[in-house]
Amino acid sequence: MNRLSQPDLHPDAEALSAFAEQALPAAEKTAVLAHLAECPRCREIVYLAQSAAELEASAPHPVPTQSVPARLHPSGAWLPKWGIAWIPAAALAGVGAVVVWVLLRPTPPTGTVTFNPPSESASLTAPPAETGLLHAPAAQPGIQSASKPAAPPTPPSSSLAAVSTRQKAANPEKRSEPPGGPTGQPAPGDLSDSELRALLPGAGGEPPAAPGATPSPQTKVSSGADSARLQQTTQARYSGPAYPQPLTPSVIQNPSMISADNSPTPAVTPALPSLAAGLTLHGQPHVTPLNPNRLAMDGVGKPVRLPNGLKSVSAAAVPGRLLAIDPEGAVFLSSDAGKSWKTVSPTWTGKALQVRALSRYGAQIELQAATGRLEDPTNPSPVAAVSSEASPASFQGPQLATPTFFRIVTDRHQSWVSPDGKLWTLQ
Amino acid sequence: MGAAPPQPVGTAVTAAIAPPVLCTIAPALLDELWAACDPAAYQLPRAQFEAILLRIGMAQNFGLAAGLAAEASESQQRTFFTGLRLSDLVLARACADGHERAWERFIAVHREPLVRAAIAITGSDTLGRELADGLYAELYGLTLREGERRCPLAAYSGRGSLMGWLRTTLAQRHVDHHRRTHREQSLDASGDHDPPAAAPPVESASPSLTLLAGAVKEALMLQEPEDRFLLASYYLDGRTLHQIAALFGVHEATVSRKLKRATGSVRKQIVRSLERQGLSRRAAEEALGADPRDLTAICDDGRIDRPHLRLKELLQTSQTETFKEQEDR
Repeated sequence: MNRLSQPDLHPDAEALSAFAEQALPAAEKTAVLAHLAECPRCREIVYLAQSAAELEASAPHPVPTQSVPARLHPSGAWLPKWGIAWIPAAALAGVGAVVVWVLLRPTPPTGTVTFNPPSESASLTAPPAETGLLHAPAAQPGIQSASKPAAPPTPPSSSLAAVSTRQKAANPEKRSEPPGGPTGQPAPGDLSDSELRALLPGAGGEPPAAPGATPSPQTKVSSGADSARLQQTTQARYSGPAYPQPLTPSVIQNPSMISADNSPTPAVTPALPSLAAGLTLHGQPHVTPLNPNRLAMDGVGKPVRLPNGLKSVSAAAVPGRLLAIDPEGAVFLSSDAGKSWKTVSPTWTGKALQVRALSRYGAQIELQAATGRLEDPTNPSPVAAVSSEASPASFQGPQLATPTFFRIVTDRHQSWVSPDGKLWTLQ
Repeated sequence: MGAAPPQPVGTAVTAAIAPPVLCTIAPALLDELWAACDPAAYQLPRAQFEAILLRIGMAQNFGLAAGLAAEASESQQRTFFTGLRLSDLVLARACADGHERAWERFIAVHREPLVRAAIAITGSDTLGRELADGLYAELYGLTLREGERRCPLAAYSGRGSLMGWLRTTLAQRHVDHHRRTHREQSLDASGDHDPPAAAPPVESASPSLTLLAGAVKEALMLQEPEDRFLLASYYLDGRTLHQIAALFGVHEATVSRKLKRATGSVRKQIVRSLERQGLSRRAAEEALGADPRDLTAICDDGRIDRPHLRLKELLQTSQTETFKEQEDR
């Protein structure tokens, strides 16, 4: 009698196939495993069957039809339905592309007024002396500012639009100017120029921005070119995830708005908050995943020594408070410029990666609406500055630009904001 | 449950058939299973469908202890049937019963995958088609045994998928055929045969190797079956982590971790065993550096029998007899 056919020596095909498909109960699985450990024949069977199953699963094959073919021979019995298998895959890819595009594209709120530092891109500049806009063209090069035909004036849909209209009326001769050139020296936050300089990692950081690069939305008036460059560079260098961030406002040219003289105004798309879209200095959209190593270079440029002996990987400051994050993700708060620190109890899950100091969007707009004018760039606020090449019209008042709250980004891609570094709210 | 006449058994290949027991399947459950299996697609009559279900249930006692099949409640029957690949099982049994429509359905769904699997297993288009055709003929019942049509499909009990069972059956046939024939040599080249090598002189095994062989055997026997299977698959068969992981449905990293743990455990056991047998720790660890090819078969009197790699046999000598031992019997 052929020993190979004796059923009691080896598990039958049914048991082996059930084992390969993890369909055996635990006791029987252990028994089969014990046999397989000692039987190369059965191991070979199992692995051969399993590899054939993998090949079948990975290779695209026409789906057999439900109908019964008239002949045994399969050739021509049914049409290969290659397209059916690819349709859902193509649909899924299309949906994924749409989602990515929605997340990455700029989404200008209609009727809002945001302020942009001037851009060097001539194609993006508004017609001089006609629009009276206080802002530069769109931050992103290549964004076409198509001239629109004159349209009847429409009431602004929000106070922000009203501000823009009043600004245009009040300053009809202001024009956009090329932006200053950030030099790659990071320094956000609200530290003074001297403090900022003290924390600078040194010269020779990022290369200057290319023309048409997106300056920081937090462009401020300052007599110090360094501060301006620091501010702009920092905001522009961030390349975090492309989630929308309520950063400093930027003036956009709402296509529905017209200048005081009803001249056509180019439709300029708003500058994306650089942090949100991850725009680089060169204005090219750039989205990179959160990289703690890179984040260490943002915020306060020089690492801060923390009470646990570690150096900070990210730090930022608002008036009177300094917040820093260590490599472990712990957050520390100082009210005396780093002389003493307190540990911040995390309300977030995960690890804090980066902290930034931001100005309030609404506070800026309201102040701009109230004052109706901008501060003289020759007498800048010590808080922040714009590049000396910036247009007089291309700056914000210091109040608008003063960072007033912290924002922490965690490794779970969550943003938490706090005005004082103690009470945090999920953004 | 009402009384019903005993159901006739369609084939004789089925495993041990339970004696006729008065049992039926609850109508609600039958409707549920009918809808799930969709036997109407190949025009299987409802009565035959019920008969197949009863046979399946009775053969496995509805998952209950022996003798309790007749007392299985509806929920127990439902639990039993939902644990099976019922649609595949009903199709297989209908084919085994000779239902032509069921065969047409089987051909439509499984014929081509069967051929592809055979080609993948054999690595050859010709051999694969030959293997698939041979199995197909056997499945179709072209094999007569003791005057009766035999269908291997009746042996399928629905725990795994039907296609998985077919692949395993193909692999089984291929492996058995290869093991039977791979040592065969064509007589055409008989003139070129080299004379067989002279038997090597019998020599005594060194004591350390004897100890090591025993320690290895003991250490392996102390491992869990899963660990021994992992070690055998990885070190003896040369399987990749991916192949092993796919078999267990886990990640490769899990397999790697288990292998590392098993290897460390075996090593530790070997060292302990050698120490227990009188070797110092250093000598024991040095013994681990021995060439596995030196671990020859150690006879009871300490002589070396056949000087070739016998480490495989150390893994195989367990409760189950190997083919060699069966041949010797």
